[in-house]
Amino acid sequence: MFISNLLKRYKKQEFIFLFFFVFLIVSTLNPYRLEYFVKFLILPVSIVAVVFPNLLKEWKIWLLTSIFLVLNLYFNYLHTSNHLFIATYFSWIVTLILISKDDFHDSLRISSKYLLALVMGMATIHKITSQEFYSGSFMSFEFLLGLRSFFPIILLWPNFNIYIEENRSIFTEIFNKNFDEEMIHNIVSPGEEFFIFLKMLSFLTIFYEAIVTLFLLIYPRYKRLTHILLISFIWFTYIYTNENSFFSMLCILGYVISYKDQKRFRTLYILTIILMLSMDVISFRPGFLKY
Amino acid sequence: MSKRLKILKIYYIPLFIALIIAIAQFVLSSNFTLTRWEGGGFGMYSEPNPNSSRIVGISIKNPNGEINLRLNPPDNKLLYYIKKMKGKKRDDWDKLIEDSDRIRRFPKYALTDEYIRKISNEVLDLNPYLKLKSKMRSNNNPITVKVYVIQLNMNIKDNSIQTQELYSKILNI
Repeated sequence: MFISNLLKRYKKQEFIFLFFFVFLIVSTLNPYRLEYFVKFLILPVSIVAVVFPNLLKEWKIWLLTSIFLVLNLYFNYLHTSNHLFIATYFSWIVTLILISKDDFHDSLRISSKYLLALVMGMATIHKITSQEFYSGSFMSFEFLLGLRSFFPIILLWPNFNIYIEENRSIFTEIFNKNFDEEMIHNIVSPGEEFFIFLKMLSFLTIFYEAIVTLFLLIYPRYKRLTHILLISFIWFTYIYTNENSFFSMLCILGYVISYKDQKRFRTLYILTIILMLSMDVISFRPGFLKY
Repeated sequence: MSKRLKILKIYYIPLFIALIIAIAQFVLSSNFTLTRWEGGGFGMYSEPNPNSSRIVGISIKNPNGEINLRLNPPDNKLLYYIKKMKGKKRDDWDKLIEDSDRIRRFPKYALTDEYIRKISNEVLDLNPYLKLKSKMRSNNNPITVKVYVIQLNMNIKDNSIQTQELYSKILNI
């Protein structure tokens, strides 16, 4: 009853800011990603913003959040996840728009579009320039050690868990050796077809990221297609990567980009965040506290 | 001119900063050992996570003896001794292990001479090495300390994991 009454107080367009602050509250539960003292600063501000919806568009709340997030980047630069960098930039963008008193939704839509294009563009550049990624070695490393799972692999190679177990013991052995010289250790894999499969998956990921970046840059022409691509990219990648926090941040950006003209996608973005949170809570695909 | 000024809005500043940080991170990760996962360059999942692919270790040598220890992820032997410690000593070790995690993520920046001096002194002060320490100090031979970061590279072509020294620093104490 209390929650339903509370939700009624939020204006539909500001609903996403509620998720942003919930996202920050959840981030404070992760033991590594936020500097210890910053957690104690961010937590009360985020709780106040969630409980008092009229403060969600108050520039003072956003300015405080932005300053705390910058403090976190400064003191915790080498442990801050990329989604917290995005959260920091987003928070500053909202603060400055609120201070500038320009058209809020238009300004936020344009800024978020470029921020998302930068994120996807940089992710593409990193993958294209990483020999380990485009050769398929990175994906092999992750799947063969069981660091990630992808259900088609289990369907195609039903005994895949045997390879994982064997490779994990090889891996433990590697970690327990002294490293006076360079060494080569053989690992076990299902064979050539497996590597071809992973190479294709790697290329598909690069292609998907590049195409989303491109469509974001030419957004005014293909608005609907851009959102379809972004949401399908999130779900496609979510199947084999538990990056719930990063995907939630992409959904928040996607939501504000869809302001005004692409309203139907707003529900989809919100549903995506809720589904990811739910799967995290029931430990089906934990991610928020892991990364 | 006024149209141009209209385009340059104050809220674009975070975007420019984001772009600068991302480019700087790309340069640092491509040439200066920073992992692609950290630093705000959005390069996660383009190479193995340092938590599972980078190892920080220390080697302390002198004609009278040798010590090899894995600092991050910490050796079981090392963890056993750290868990037994209390008070300031424990805090110092926790800080050193925390710093070794930074070294794992960005060796070129985080591995300093001061860290090598501190960690080597603490390692030599550990119970099992106390006798070796006095032996090492008994002659005038310097003790050579090497802190290194090992990278595990998977090669898809020959189904292998290769261990390779990514970065190291040697100091005589």
